[in-house]
Amino acid sequence: MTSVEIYEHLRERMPDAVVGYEANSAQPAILIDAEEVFELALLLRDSEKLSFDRLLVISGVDWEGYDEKGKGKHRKIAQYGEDGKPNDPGPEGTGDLGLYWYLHSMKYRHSIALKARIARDKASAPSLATIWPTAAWAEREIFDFYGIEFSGHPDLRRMFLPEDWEGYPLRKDYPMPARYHDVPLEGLPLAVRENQQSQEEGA
Amino acid sequence: MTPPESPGREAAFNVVGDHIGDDREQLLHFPIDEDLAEIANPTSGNIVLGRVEDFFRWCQLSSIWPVTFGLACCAIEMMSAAGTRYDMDRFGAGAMRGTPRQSDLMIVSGTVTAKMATRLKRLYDQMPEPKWVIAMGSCAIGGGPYFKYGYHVVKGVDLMVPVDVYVPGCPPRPEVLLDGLMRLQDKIRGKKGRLVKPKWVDQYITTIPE
Repeated sequence: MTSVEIYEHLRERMPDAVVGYEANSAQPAILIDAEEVFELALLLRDSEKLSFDRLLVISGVDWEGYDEKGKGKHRKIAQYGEDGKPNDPGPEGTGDLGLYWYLHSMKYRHSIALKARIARDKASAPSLATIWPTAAWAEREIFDFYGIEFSGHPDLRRMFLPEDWEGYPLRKDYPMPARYHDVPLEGLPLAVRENQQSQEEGA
Repeated sequence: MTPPESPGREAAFNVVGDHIGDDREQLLHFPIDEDLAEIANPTSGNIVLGRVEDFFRWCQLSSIWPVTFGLACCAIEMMSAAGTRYDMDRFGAGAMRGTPRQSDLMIVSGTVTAKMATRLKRLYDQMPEPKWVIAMGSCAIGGGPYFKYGYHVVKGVDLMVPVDVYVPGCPPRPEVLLDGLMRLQDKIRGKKGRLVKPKWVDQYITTIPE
């Protein structure tokens, strides 16, 4: 089935869950309501016509921090406090977070992407780990970097970052820390430091 | 026929270092006390006299055992340098130990993340003295491509542990690592003046890109 046919099929079966269709991209995506993704995923996997037996990847995305032209912004940190945190962490983001689910059917060899927007202040989505077990790792990773809570996940912990890491680094409003415990994360290369030193001594 | 002169060649020779000294010293790898050697030579060709400190240094530099410690893509080049093609064992540094307690050298080969930096410090503390550190590659030297936006990367391993030799590259080829190893051997041997910073380096390090 083509992605348009899949979209039409889903809209017939679950009209509340499907929001729209995004054709103008290399990978056509079906816009869905994030809260309905569990039922939608069950339908996608178990329907005889669709039988999406494989979840390729789940991607998280943060739409905060992009201007109208789609260019990203970054924040400059002026000063750090004693605790290694920035004195002025800047405004909190207001843009939506998002999720992409990429599905593939080994049986029919068709694939589709699901796309959902998630409110930043209550970032949560249903977990698909009971439908496709591979989702458990991807969701842990997204929780680690974007702070999206997946309800029903068997083991939702940080994956790459240390357990006591504060904040979610791939969010656009994440202020970069100066250090983690006693590990410095801010510093200049040795050549620059030596050069500064020699200049100070010379002056 | 002489090769054409160019400013680049001269600088390159300075970085790599031309080996000064007579052939005998190169062969033996430790400095011979010339006066004493003169006395020793007529009696027997098999006796070489020197200082005990030099002998110990020669032993140390001839059996640098690195700790098996790879962090990122530089570790692939380090493995290549330790393998048969480049054979780091020629310089006595091929015995990669599985524990820091038997090691003299830590080759920090790759990106030092915040999570790994605590382990790196612990490994370094576990190594017995005397111990040396080679910072291999851009990331270990100064954060590399993660310098500006890397929230998780230590901007140079010398912020964590003292570093003896910096090996530039991204990643450095095995030859460069071997050269760094030989510079470390020079350092252990107590020879100075081989590491010359070329003049053109200054113009690149005076300004940091914003």
